[in-house]
Amino acid sequence: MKPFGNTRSIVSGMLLLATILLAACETGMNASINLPIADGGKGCTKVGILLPETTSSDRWETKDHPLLVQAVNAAIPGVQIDYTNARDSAAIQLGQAETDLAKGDCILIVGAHDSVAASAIVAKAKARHVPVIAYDRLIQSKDASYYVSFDNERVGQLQAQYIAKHYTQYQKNDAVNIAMLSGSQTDTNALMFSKGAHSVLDPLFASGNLKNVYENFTPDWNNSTAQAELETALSDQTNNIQVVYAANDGLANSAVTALKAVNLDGKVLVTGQDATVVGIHNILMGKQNMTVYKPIVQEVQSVGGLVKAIYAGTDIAALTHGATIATFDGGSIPAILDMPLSVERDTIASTVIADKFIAKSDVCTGVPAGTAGVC
Amino acid sequence: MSRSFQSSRKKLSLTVKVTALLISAVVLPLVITVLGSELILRPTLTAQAATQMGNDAQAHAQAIDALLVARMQDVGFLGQYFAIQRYLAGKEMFKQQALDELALGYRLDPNYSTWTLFDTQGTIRLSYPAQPGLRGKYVVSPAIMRQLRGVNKTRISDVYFDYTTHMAFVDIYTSITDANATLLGFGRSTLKLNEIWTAVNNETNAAPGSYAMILDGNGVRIAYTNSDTTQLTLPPALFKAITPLSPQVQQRINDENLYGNSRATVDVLADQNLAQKVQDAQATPAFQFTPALQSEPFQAYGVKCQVIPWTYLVFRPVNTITGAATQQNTYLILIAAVITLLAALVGFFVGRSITQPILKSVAFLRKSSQLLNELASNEQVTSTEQRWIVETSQTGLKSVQYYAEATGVAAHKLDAIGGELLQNWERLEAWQTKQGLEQIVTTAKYIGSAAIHQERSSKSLATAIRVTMQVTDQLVSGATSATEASTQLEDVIEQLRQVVGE
Repeated sequence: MKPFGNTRSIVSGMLLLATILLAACETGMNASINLPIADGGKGCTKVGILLPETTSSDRWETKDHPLLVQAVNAAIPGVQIDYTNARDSAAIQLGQAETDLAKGDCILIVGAHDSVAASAIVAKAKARHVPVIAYDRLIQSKDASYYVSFDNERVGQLQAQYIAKHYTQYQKNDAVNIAMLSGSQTDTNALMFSKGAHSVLDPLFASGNLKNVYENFTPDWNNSTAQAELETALSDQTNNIQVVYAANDGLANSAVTALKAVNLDGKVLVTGQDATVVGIHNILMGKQNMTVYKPIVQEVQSVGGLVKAIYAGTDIAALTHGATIATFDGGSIPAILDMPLSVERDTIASTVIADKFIAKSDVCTGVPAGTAGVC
Repeated sequence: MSRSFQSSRKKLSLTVKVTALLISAVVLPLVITVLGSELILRPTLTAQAATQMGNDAQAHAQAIDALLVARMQDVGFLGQYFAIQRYLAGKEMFKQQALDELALGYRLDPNYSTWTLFDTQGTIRLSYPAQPGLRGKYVVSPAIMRQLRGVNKTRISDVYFDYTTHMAFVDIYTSITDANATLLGFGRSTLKLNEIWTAVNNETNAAPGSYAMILDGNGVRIAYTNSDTTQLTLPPALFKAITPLSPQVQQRINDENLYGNSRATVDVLADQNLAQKVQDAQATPAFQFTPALQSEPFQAYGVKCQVIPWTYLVFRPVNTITGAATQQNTYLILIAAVITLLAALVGFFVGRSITQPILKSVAFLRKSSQLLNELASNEQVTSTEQRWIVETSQTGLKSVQYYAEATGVAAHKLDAIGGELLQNWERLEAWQTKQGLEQIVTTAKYIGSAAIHQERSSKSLATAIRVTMQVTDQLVSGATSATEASTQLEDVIEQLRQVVGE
């Protein structure tokens, strides 16, 4: 009997086993994940909906979310929808998009939190031939497939036109002072609103009838920041401000709060946008003068029509009517631009209430009965 | 060969073999682990680091893209503002509002240093907050002005350096046109690269010894991790090219005073490996090499920006990446050494516990063997003695037989001589009687001699009997020794049984 006769065999066996295990590990580590490749959205039955936030405006969760789901369900029979909200984070939104793509979503509808940062979502989607619909907010990428929104320059124009029409009612001395809270500069829409507003207001500024005493973009549409900004402006102007251009109802409500602190609420012209419950309530209470109603139903229907066309592989020219929008990397994105409406105290009932965009019960709390024929 | 091997194996004691087996059993898995570390862990760590660095570089390149696109968007949109367009169209009444709008743009990013409007000839029309300086010998580079002729054109300049603020900056230009696409002029925002330099400087936080750089389209390092945390001095590699620049590029650098060189030639800090990787469109983004100014291999990862021809590169010393594997190997070797020592000790004691009874048995066997040898030797002596006894007895017996026969012959002869004398007593003459008597005497003497010889033979037989007695004693003694040896062998067998456990 040779006690060590099989030692070499045992060692060889162990090394072989180890090699096999190591090779298995190696294979496992190098194994790539095969992500699905979409066919430009044609025949797609998995759709990702990504919305930007929940804080600055309640429209995303209360309006856009359910309406988009409804529209996409109507557009694609048996569709599977992955819905996410980025909760004010571009990084979260990118991660959500990556997850959707990994799950095989073949059409993405993206309400970008950051118009520039969202270009990364477009790049990843493009790599898998997944079309991206930039919803409501433009994505600054020439590879974005479609853009569905309202005519945002028109939004700014509607706001400014209201000011141009009514600022004289607030005139105290030679000029009327205006403070402009223009929204987030990382949101291309805010720049479009501002551009539209300036196209109307700049001649008034140039003529000296209206004096622009404060103008700033408010990062992330942050309402608290906007309030602080207006408080600073009021302080700098010793409360001599007659008009506040607020790019949306959230900023407008912050402006109302700041004005109330110096007993100017209801005495200063305040604009807004989005026809939110707060905005309409403030209008009914006489603290805000107007808002811009972007019938989200209309915008969502445009998305639904577009998704249906992508799914069927049909021409979308009939939907866009040849409209495009330029991106800053030289792109020209096919666009569906719906028209916004200006809503004032006396048109609330015929617009947002009539469209059931807002319920009376939501806006009439604390409002005297009979106000504007609404409450 | 095999015999010598076998003989050498025979020289190994069981204790040594048991110890070697234990050490092998303990150390072999560690050796496999070390091999695994070398074959898998080290490449895996490198791959993980490359992935991490890739994500890092990708994130930074995307952040640069996002920053620059956002800033291009700023200047692009401001260029579309009503008052700015009217002012550039010659409406002086819009000057203040145009200035306010430049101020609005200026406030969009704290890293803006100036916002400026130019007419179509590149002459400054309006600037906020101050009049900008020249770019070398130009107000606006003619090459950039040529690129801006058109609607919605936006361009980013190469990198300048402001010695006053100790900061690099770029100019972002946009064409400004009216609704009819008529060129009205140009807008320019000047953006300090603080954020980008900060990101590059912060690369040291990624891992010990790591750093980053940005190469521009000319192959010049426009950002480089600064080890001077006070930022009072600039990194030695900053604004140095990785390969010699063409005369045309050098001329443009001189004309525009790029890279803060006071219109001098850009120095070259050659890095051929890096240049090769950056210029090769097919090159993998992750690679290893020893960069310029470094003395050890680095893992590198480069990502090209999308909106500007910059490449963001991150570097990490290879030894910090594989440090975990090296450390693990060190620990494993230490553990192996300690365990080897323990295994040797255990093996020694276990071997001893096994071999001791065996050695004791061997000693018994050796003793038994000696006893048996002694017995064999005694047996040989005994057999020799026995042979001698037999031979002696045979000789003695033959002698007795001979002398018995001789005595019988002599007695017969005496009988014959005596009878002849008696019968012929009267007729015999005296000489004849005398001769008869003499023959009787001779025969008697012969019988006497035979008796003596017989006595001697008897003595020999007596000796043989005595020796036979002694041999018998020796045989008894030998039998006793054999019994003792047998008993000892049984003890050995018992001990060996205990060793093997049967």
